[in-house]
Amino acid sequence: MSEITSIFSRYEPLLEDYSKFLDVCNTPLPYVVRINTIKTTIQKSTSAFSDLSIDVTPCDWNPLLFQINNSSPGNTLPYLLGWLHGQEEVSSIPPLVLDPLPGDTVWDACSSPGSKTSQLAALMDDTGFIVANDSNLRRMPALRSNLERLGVTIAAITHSDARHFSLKPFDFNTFDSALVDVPCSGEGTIRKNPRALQKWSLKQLFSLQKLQFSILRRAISLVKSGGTVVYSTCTFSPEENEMVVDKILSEGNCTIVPFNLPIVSSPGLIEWEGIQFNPSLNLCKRIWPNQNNTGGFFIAKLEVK
Amino acid sequence: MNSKSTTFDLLLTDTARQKNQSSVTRSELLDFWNDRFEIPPKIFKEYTFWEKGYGKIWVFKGNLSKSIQIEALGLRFTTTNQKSWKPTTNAVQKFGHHARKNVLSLPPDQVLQFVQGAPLHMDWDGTPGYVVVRGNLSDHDIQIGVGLYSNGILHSQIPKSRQLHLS
Repeated sequence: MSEITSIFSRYEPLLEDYSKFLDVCNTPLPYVVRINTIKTTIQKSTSAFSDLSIDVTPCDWNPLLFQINNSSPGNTLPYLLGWLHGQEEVSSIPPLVLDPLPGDTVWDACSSPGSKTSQLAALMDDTGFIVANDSNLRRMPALRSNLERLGVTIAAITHSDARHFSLKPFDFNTFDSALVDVPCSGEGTIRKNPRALQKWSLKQLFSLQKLQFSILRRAISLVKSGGTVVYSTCTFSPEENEMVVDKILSEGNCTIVPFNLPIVSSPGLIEWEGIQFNPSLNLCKRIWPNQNNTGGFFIAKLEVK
Repeated sequence: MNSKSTTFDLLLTDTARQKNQSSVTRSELLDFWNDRFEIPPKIFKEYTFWEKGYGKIWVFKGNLSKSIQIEALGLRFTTTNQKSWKPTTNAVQKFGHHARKNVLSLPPDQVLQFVQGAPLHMDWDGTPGYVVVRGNLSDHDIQIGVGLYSNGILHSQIPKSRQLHLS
């Protein structure tokens, strides 16, 4: 039995077509780029694709995403110019759910390598303020170079443990919203990284759960009343998803709010292995790779009380 | 200037110079961009400039009320710790379209050489020094980066890590 089959068998009861799910998990992920509207437009980029013979397939649900079929996008003029950023389809969803406005003050708790951060900046027309935090110093250079290449001028990059993040260096006391895209076991990245499950264990999931919960709790405490916190992972495990959100709901400082997605997804679970969750957990969404030919993701949208 | 290389210090205007912790003032910086590239100071009215480490100037859209110790604030803008002040590639890509002086527009074949880091021999009647290098892609002007024009040669300043490797 392969690693994928042995680990993912726990999800068989949750899937309508488990064998298709396994097949898709064993298929490499298409390479997708996002058009960076801070530096260019869709029209300019599509003309450049055509003139440079870069073979692309537009993504049917997001006009800014294109599958690249015949070249390495990092070695192209549009990439050098900061017009493009490699970003998987599902990775572009959490910023869309957060939906920040120009002028907002936003916390990106676990920011590196900056794909979602730069997307947030683009959604804000590079106007407002993003505090892009990451705890891993080795991931800072990628974060910095991506944000600079993409022309983001509204971000402050901080190196801090998100669980204990301090607003002391800044002039304000609360954020308008926060993106909490936490470190996770990465089950949903198996198509991109076949080694993603090498360290997988139930013990690891519960260890990550503690970290994820602490980061989410810090975000809830830093965002203004009525503000939005989006919690996301690139993993399927309920231990890192529903259990984290259920626990934060039980603290009474936030509620789950409904949201729509432009792609197929499944509602969050309200029960897992005999444990019952808050019924509103069904407002979360889990994206399985076989539903849209993407990676996997989990997203919860929370409103701070 | 604050000696801690992790601290961002705000560039103040000349009139506030006595309080200034930075090695250059906002006015000196904007004068450079205006004199060298004819990009008027009003283009930068929404931006503040910060020094982190001697002569390393960053541009940030917005303002903060005090010096701050963080990893990055906006993007690297200009290096002023050398005789000829040097704009960064990212700064030129962001603001270069406003430039009206010391701009070199390259034809497509030379653009491809420039982005691979190759020196280009050419006659040009501008003032030697750092120039905005412009090209055209699909009928649109593109701001590619910084070149150093000297003795009939345009030297590409595209960082090695960003140069393209085209066959």
